[in-house]
Amino acid sequence: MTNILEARGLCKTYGAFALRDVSFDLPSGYIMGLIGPNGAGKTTTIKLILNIIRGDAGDVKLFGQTKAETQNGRIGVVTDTPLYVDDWTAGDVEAALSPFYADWDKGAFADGLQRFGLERKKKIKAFSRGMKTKLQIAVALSHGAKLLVLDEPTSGLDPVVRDEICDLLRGFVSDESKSVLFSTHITSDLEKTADFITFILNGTVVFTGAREALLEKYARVTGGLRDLDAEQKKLIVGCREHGTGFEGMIEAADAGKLPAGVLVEGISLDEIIIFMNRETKGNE
Amino acid sequence: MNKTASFVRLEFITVKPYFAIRNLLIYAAVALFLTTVSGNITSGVGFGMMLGTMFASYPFVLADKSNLDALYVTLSVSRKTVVLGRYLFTLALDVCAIACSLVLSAAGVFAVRAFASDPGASDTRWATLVLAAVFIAVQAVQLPIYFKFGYAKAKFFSLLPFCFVMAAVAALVEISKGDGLPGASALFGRAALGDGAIIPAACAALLLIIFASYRLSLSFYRKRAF
Repeated sequence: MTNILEARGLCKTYGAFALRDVSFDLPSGYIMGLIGPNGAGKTTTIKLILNIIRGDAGDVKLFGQTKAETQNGRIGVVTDTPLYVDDWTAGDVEAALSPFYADWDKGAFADGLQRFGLERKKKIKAFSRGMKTKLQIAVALSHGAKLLVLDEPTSGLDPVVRDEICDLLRGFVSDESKSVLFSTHITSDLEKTADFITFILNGTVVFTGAREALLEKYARVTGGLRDLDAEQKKLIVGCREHGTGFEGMIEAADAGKLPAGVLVEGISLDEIIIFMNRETKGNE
Repeated sequence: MNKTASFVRLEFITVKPYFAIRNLLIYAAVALFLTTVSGNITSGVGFGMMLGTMFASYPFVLADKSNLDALYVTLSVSRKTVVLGRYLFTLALDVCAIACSLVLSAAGVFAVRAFASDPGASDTRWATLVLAAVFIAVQAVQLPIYFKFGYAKAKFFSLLPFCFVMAAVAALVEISKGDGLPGASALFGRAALGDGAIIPAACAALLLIIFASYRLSLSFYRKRAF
């Protein structure tokens, strides 16, 4: 399994925020979800990978080579807000961008516009959010991108469009030489699509690996207020007590240390983020 | 097409929405009006260069609005290419502005001479050239400011060169009265007569200003974070 993307020790400080030692690998043929709450450092990580900002330390290897700037032609970028002029039409986008890609395929772009129902002469400002995302995907598919980097592409989209985009991404990686790095805080999209997860919290990677491994690593626990002793309470991550009991998360390996009355069950990505975030804030 | 040429093309596509036919017709009408009222081509060319200077700022406006600087990185366009491309784009704008305004102004002056009994039209080649050079120099000062701060933050500072120009014009008027710098009057007199030595020196000075401006812009833009 070869890695399309390798990030090693990425660091970047912006005032009070610091991205610290972010490292992960994305193998070819897979989708990786970059998750974390707002402000965790997902966009900063993506900007470092794309060379849009300069890091304080660390190294990015794309397609086995360093110097992202020379590699960006093989990367398709999809952002929350497209990096295109609002008054451009889809035709202008092609005219403006195609000279920069040696492998630009006019036919593929025309097919993309047709497939996604995008009018060539319509201005981008008249497109819906979903259409703007699809236009960026059409561009990426037209220059033979091997890696799609998406920064919050589904935020603000309705479930139908989100599902369509997730389908597109699954189709994209059906070619095993291609991969997707997908930053989002809508984890339900990743539960459908992602093979790997990198979870960033407060600028630090708290998990990177297979999605199933993350979901198996933790478990959701609920129980009565008097069910746990002090030592057992220390095992609970992001514990929240309410009138009748508590809820929290535990490492699945520690589940056996809890009394029989405590309910241990499967956990979702959303819940992992929430409990981790709560734990971090509780410790601050 | 090499990357710099592709980038200049991208710049034109970026500002293309502002080149609406209706706007261009209005600009042409204003240029014609100015020329026919003044009876010389200088005012028309001045207006054209002012438009050129305004259009030269549009890529910065749109780069701020649509985060185009990040787009350039995703297109693997180096920062040097961005700066060089934008200078070439500005130069091309100036050439177009001068050419179009000269044609319109010449038409305006011709109309004045043909229909007015006392047109007052005069040969103002040198004034026109000086005006064009002044606008190019203003752009050379503005561009590094835009590259350093981006349009939104640089908007105020980018007006400063015009203040300097006005101050310089006022100073030159005083000097040309003969009670300013010794020998200045003679120099302006020679320039007005189209002295062969003055023009190359002025062109060399302008090129030097543009080159210094380019180096400064490159230095600023290399340090910019988007």
